[in-house]
Amino acid sequence: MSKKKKNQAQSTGRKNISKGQDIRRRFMRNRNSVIGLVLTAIFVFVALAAPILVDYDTQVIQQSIPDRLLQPGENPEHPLGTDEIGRDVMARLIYAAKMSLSIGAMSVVIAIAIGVFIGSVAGYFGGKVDTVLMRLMEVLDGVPSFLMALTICAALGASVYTLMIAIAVGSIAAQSRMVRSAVLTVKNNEYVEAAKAMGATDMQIIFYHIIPNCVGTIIVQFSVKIAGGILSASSLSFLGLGVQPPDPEWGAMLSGGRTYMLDNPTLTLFPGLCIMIVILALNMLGDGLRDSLDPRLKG
Amino acid sequence: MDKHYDDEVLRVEDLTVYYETDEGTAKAVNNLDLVVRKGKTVGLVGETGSGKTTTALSILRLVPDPPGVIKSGKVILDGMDIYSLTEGEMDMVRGYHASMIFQDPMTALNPVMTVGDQIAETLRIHEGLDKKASWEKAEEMLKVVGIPPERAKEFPHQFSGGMKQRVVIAIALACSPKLMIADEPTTALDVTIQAQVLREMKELRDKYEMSMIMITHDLGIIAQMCDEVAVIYAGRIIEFGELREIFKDTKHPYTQGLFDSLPKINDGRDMLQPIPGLMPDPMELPEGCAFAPRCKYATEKCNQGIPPKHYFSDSHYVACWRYDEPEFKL
Amino acid sequence: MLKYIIKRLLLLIPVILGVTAIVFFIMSLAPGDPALSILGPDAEPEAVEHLREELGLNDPVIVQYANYMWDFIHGDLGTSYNSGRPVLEEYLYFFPATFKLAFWSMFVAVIISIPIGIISAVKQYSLIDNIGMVGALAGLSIPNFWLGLMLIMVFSLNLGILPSGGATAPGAVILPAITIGTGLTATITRMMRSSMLETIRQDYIRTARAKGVNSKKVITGHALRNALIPVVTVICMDFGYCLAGASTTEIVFSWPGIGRLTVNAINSQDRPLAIGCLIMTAIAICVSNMVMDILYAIIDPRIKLTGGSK
Repeated sequence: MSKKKKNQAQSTGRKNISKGQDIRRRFMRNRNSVIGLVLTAIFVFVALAAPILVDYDTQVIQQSIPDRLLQPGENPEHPLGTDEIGRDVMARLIYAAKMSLSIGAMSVVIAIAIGVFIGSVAGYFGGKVDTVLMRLMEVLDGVPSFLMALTICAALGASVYTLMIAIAVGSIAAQSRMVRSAVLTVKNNEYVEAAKAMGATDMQIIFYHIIPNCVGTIIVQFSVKIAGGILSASSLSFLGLGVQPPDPEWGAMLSGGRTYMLDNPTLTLFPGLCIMIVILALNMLGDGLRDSLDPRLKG
Repeated sequence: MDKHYDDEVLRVEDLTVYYETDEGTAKAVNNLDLVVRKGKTVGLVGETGSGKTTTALSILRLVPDPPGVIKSGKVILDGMDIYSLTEGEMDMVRGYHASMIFQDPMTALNPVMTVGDQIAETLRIHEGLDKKASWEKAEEMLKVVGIPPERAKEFPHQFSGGMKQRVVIAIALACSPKLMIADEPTTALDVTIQAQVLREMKELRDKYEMSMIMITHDLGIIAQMCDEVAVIYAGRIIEFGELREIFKDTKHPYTQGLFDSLPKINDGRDMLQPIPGLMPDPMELPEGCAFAPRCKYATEKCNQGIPPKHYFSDSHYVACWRYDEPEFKL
Repeated sequence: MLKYIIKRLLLLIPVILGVTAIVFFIMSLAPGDPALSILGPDAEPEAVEHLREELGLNDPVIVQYANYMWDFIHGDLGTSYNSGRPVLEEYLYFFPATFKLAFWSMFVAVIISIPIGIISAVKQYSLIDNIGMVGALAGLSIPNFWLGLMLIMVFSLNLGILPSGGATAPGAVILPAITIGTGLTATITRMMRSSMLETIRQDYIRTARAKGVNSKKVITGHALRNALIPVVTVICMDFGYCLAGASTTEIVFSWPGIGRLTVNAINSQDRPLAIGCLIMTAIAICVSNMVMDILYAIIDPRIKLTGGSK
């Protein structure tokens, strides 16, 4: 008897574990996913509490030329030092967390909302609608998402909102395609047939039957794509096309610190570390969610 | 422990195999004894999850590890103590002394290798043939299983299910092994193809004078192919005997249940009698006889300890507590 | 095969039309006057107006688009505002550097990731697997521009053993290739591992074991070719994206490639150059996908090249 069969036998036979409990148990058993969850939670907390932790006007954007380029630990008031115009690095890092996470999350929400719509319509109706929509997505995919975002930012002018839209546009195609394939697998299930037989409308079927069944896939995508969104946002800000001064953003801070790399390497080190850790955390969380929501995909 | 014979090809003693996972330990095979004699075919019958396949894989040391662990036991194949061999020696045993046919021919062949190559590979490993000679022999093997030899250059996806299973059989037969283990070789095939493949297997078995273990849950196949039958339940053989003894003189309540759940055309009864309940979870086997919870003959004693073997003839035994009572009859 | 390639190239036409349309539309939203930025802020209004007329900027977007496509069919991608040179010439001038960088990055990635991926899968949960997977996760999470800067800090500024930028100095390709290669290595390692894990659980691997193929040969002879099929997809797709130019890395290392060219063009509103770069990029990605399909058909006998999209 193969292992697979064995697992099935267990889940049907023993102790009535609910699906939710089963997912939680699988998730908690994976060390990496728990670390990812904890780190993500810390970042989310810092981002939410940023306006309380630091004062925007006096700490984040106020310049103080006499205090410029302090090394970390040089002045207890600025534990992580100051940047080229004397702003506190720690306060800016904290505030940037709010920026990065909200840009990442919002861009994914936009992309997923559009992707769920396009993908479920294409997958559910099939035929010509599907062909046309998917061809459109192919065109969107013709431009690498980063360059697409870059073009949008350049044309619409750099701002936090442009950045959200620009990054979202870049991943619409991938989201739609993913939702579409999830819909296609769900679509032919008998309960959808049953709902149809009972007279449910297409929209009801899509919203009550198909989308809830794609939720697992979407949740996994959410954390992985937020990571991608944060990375794109910081890359664009690094190129000067994202968050504009004086607002802090990790990519932009890093770019600003480049000039002082030899004497003040921490100005490039800290923002980079923040980007890396938050992305690492989200990736770990995403991996863990994927493994626990859909053990078949487990690598 | 089973009786010793002079012409044993395979002897399995006290085999215990567990699957150890985070969720618990599944006791797949428990203290199993089995003997296969030269030229005989032993049928291994049981439900899905009864440990048939694990037993087969244990004989070739192919139990996936982890999670599979062979806890105890001894396997003597063709005079060799399988569990004392090195990995390298074991590679020379597989496919040469004993080979195996798997359940699903659709997935059993490598999709990116020609079928000829897949047969020839065995010959290159075991018979030391070179590329050309092994290819020629592979074509010959295809002919033996009824496939035109020129199709050797084709890939598995170009064959039908029945043809693929023939290729798998050709691979298994290539080095004329002493023992062939067939794990539900026809379950995945259409009924008509099933009959053809079985007939061919039978002919080839007789031609090559092989011993065979036929794993199945289909009593019809057992009746057609086997000399002896081992009924396996929750990883133990609960009844063993010659074909006639099992079919005509059924002793174990479970075996009886298997027969009762078959449709009988001339019996006039129109309702099948399924065995009530499910096989116990291999992670939580009952202390006594594993069948007791489903057995209409079960008594208090059946829940206390593993039932001993009761012999009715040299070849026929049953593991059931109730036969402690001399007057007990099904 | 030829028929397939032609069919595939024909499929490019709607993509090119679409990409151009999208880029045209987005760029037309941009504020500012390209003519003014070419001539500088002190230019005479008449001169600016003249140039606008000459560049066709006074026409409606749809007419500009039609004119552009007409020229495109005739092999003319326009002239860069910035350099005054033909866009195609400009693109082809910078392309070799990007190709070189893409090649070495992929080379580094493949050399490292395939063996690690295989070992990780075969010895799942071993030390190598754990280190490999944590490393891959980390590699996946490092932003290119930051890794590039850190490498410059260590190897150029502090140790002084490798050049920090440009493409002419010997060894200049090493740091940028490592920068891009890190992310690629991470992706391919993960893909290789999960694909190999999936493959070694297949029935045909058990069949091979049962006929006496030893545990090493079953990996190299039976599993690898099957497991490589999805990995080749990832490699080709990533290579295609590399040909778009790794913008941030090229900028960090002042690498004279397509990525930097494109970013500069977009940034400076050099519309013909930006559109040209994006179209050429779409073509490059498409060609590398085509190579992927051909490789597919070679590795997997089940696939026949018949043309048409998947």
